Amino acid sequence: MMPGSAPRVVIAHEQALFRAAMRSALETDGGLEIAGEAADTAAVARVLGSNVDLLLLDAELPPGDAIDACARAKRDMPDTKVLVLGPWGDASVLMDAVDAGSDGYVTRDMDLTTLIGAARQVLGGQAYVPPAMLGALLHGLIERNRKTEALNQLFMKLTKREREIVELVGEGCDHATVADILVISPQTARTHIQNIMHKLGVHSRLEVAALAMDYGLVRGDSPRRGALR
Amino acid sequence: MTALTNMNRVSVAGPERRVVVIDRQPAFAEALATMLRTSGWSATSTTMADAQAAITYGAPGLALVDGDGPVADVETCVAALRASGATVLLLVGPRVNAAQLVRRTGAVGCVSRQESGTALLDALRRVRAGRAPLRITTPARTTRPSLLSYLTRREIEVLQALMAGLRSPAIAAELDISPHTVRTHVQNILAKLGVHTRLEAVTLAMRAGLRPTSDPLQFTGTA
Repeated sequence: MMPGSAPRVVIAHEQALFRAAMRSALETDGGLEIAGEAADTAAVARVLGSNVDLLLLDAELPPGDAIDACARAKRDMPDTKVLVLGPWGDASVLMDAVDAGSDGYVTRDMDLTTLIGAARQVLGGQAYVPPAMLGALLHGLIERNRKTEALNQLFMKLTKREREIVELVGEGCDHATVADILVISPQTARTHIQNIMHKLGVHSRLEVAALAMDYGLVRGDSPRRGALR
Repeated sequence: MTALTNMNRVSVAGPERRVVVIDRQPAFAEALATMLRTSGWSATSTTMADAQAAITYGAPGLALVDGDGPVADVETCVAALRASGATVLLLVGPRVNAAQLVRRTGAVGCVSRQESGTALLDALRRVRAGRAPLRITTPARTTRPSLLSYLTRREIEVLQALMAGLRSPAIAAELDISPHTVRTHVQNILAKLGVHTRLEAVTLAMRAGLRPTSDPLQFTGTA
């Protein structure tokens, strides 16, 4: 940001009235300048760019995942701070935002002074999390660490080939499709899957898929062609 | 000056451009009041819970009320405001049956949250001028409805349990229903989503952003 000039902010929220109200309040009470508005996730990328200092991003901005938009913004414009506006009390959204590189998190039940204070703090290079949610955040991070550790142990037991198959199963492939993609016989695919289930200590392909998702082997945005119509 | 509307005759002395914004999101309510003040309105804001205090303090001529909360809360709030002589305009999101809500509460009309600030100011001016009933209808959601929106709440619960890797007997126990009912739910889910296996349903749900039930992992057999 240029010294002496007001920080430039982009407001990303689905509701036009919210954007208009925030624009007015941030300019009047917050000493901020509104550089642009975005009504959907695609517009965020378009509006960001020219020396924007702060992105105020609603966690429910459609379509798709607003948190992905946060990650993209941090990747493309690392100097732009991102403040995610999410629901109160839902630590999972907060954790997703932290994962996506957000610089701060504010909730919809906050008053304007707190929200502007958070924006200023983030613009000053500090992180902001509602103090009352810090406990839940720490607890969530520790819990996830523990779970990741346990999953690591499980997936260490698998061979490279078995991991490939877990990925395919996680994407919704059945025996025949797995066999088809890996160019092996259906019987071999079946044997592999049975070994996998045994090693992971589960009893169905569905459980394998659930574990694969939790482990991050399957990404939500990578549909296997043809496996799902 | 056009004929004064009811509210202006009943409200306590003060500027006729008086409006209170009542919304569950305090920062939004305050911000909207700021916007209205910069356009010459005498605007204040309060939360739904404190609405009664605001009314006791001095009846506003006009009130903008959050119509997206529980209907009973909206009704109570609007009734109290109307009893104090205020004219009420509802603020509604896309998920609300706006026309029905206006009828039920006796509000003078509603404004969609998708409207611009200018449109809201215009609506307020019209109401103040007694040009009622005013209704700016809620535009339909522009985004295509998710496949998941065709599922019932119970079906979503079953699907989330499937995502967590639970099998039918476990789901039955979890939701306190018979395994046969679980099967029926699952079959309906598959039919509605247009898929043939539970696995496909789960991957589809994951892609739609649904999350599994809270504690998905059963480390049975892990050591």
